[in-house]
Amino acid sequence: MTGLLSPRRPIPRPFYWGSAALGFVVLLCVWEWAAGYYAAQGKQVLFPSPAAVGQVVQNMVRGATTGQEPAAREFQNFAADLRISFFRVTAAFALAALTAIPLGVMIGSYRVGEAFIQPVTEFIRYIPVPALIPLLIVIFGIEETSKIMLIYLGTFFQLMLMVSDEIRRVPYDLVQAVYTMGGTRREAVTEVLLPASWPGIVDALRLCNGWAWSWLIVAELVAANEGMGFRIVKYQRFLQTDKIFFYLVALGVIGLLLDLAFRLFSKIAFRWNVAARN
Amino acid sequence: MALELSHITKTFRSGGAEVCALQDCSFTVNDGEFVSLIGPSGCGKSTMLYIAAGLEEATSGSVMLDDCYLRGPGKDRGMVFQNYTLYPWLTVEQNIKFPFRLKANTDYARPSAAIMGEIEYAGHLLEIMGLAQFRNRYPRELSGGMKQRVAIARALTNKPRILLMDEPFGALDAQTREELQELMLLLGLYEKTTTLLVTHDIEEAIYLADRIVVLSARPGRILEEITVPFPKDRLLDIKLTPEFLALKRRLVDLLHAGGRPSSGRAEILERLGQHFHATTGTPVTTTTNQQQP
Ligand SMILES: Nc1ncnc2c1ncn2[C@@H]1O[C@H](COP(=O)(O)OP(=O)(O)O)[C@@H](O)[C@H]1O
Ligand SMILES: [Mg+2]
Repeated sequence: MTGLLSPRRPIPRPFYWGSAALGFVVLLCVWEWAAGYYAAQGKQVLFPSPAAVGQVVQNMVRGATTGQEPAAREFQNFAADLRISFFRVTAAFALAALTAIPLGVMIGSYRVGEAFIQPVTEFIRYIPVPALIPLLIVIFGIEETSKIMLIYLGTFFQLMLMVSDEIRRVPYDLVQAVYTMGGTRREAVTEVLLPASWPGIVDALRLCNGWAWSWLIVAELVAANEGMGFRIVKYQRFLQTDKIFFYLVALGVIGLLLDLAFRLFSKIAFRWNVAARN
Repeated sequence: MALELSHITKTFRSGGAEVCALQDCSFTVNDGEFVSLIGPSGCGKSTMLYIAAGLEEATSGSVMLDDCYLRGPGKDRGMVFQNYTLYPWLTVEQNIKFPFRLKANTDYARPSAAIMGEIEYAGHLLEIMGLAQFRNRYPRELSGGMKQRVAIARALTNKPRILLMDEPFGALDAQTREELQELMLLLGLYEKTTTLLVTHDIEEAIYLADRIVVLSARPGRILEEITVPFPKDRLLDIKLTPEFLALKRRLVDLLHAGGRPSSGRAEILERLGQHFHATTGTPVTTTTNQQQP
């Protein structure tokens, strides 16, 4: 079966990219229509049009290039927000990866490890992380540590369980093969289970990185004096919804770029692994 | 005597119920000998091979290799699995050299002469298995037959005392299967490998083996050991000789002792006949089992 509507069959490239572009056009149209709806009632301040957000972008670019006030100040704020938010996410994410990958490999490889860690974490995992915010602030204060801890707790458990699933998905045949070649039980983990799981682990990292950005905004909405989330709350107070939209778009673009980076890395590093798409 | 299995019994316990897979099976594989193990599906052939490999523990009985009792797997027994167990993240050459990689993990101070010898031996295996021009391919880029050649080469890398194979050609098309059968036969002739092959393909079992061990349906017991009366160097054409076909007939009868599983024939004919009769009204005459010699 071929044709544009054959389930799971590939389609010609122009159709693919054309459809992708169409998706964005539809989004813009809906946005334009919603903005027009509010504008007709004289409430354009509640819902800015794409053009108004374009204006904010232009303003930012002017601030970055000419140093004219107040545009320059807005741009400097944006750059500082981006820097600190990026630092928070990356620190928490790195910490999560460094702890969750070894533990996940342990859980997936050894039943003892699974019994020891998994039931406990399944329990902790069902405590909603936002419910921990007051406690985190009491324990770690309102500085960086509490925000990083929140992001960490939001991603660590998911990542650990996803990594252990990847290890468990490796066919047991591959492990038996290493034993018949003189491999030890440790080598079964380091030479077989881990290399076989890397593509899946990197994919889990990609997903968790996306969630880390969500937790970042939660952390910054609650208590912060800089960062993307903080700025969004601030603009809310002054009813500057056009600037809120700008930050939302920026967050979307960051997410998209990071996602692409992970995918690109996977494609280059794991040339042997072709996800069965056809 | 290379491999000696004595009084092997294996009982699986699954969900409270006990399944007896093998019952008091004893047989040997001599030095340089090629032994085929055949039996109806589910009779415990794979289980027997996994016990010989040390991957599965017998409930009772013992496995000896060169008069030493064995426990657990080891590189003295190479194994080729039914599913392709190549490591997909390694190229053909890296897969074949994988046992050397394991050796390097524990033995840091190998003399460079040993390392040179290993590289040379891996090259030799690539050549004799006809894999030289595929050395840099990844397993996903290979056909099923090529994958199984790599798996055989990899199992030979450690120069094992015995090669254990579990239906290695079961998933291949008929032509590729014969190609690999011929390769195995000639390999045995040149490299003097000792092999235990599990298969459900009777022709394959006869063509390759010096001796055939026949297992009964579950619980697997040894029904008979048959020495194959052909010289070691055989052409594929031998499969069409009367002697070969006579031996095949004998094995077929052994495996299906108590009636071939064509007992379903009468039932199928009845269903077909009824349906056919209802739609066209023309009766069909068919042969019955008794009419055929
Ligand atoms: N791990 C297991 N647990 C329970 N039963 C098993 C297990 N492995 C094999 N069996 C049973 O033992 C019998 C023999 O299996 P196997 O050796 O795979 O047969 P064969 O390779 O001859 O087809 C089968 O009936 C199978 O259901
Ligand atoms: Mg089997």
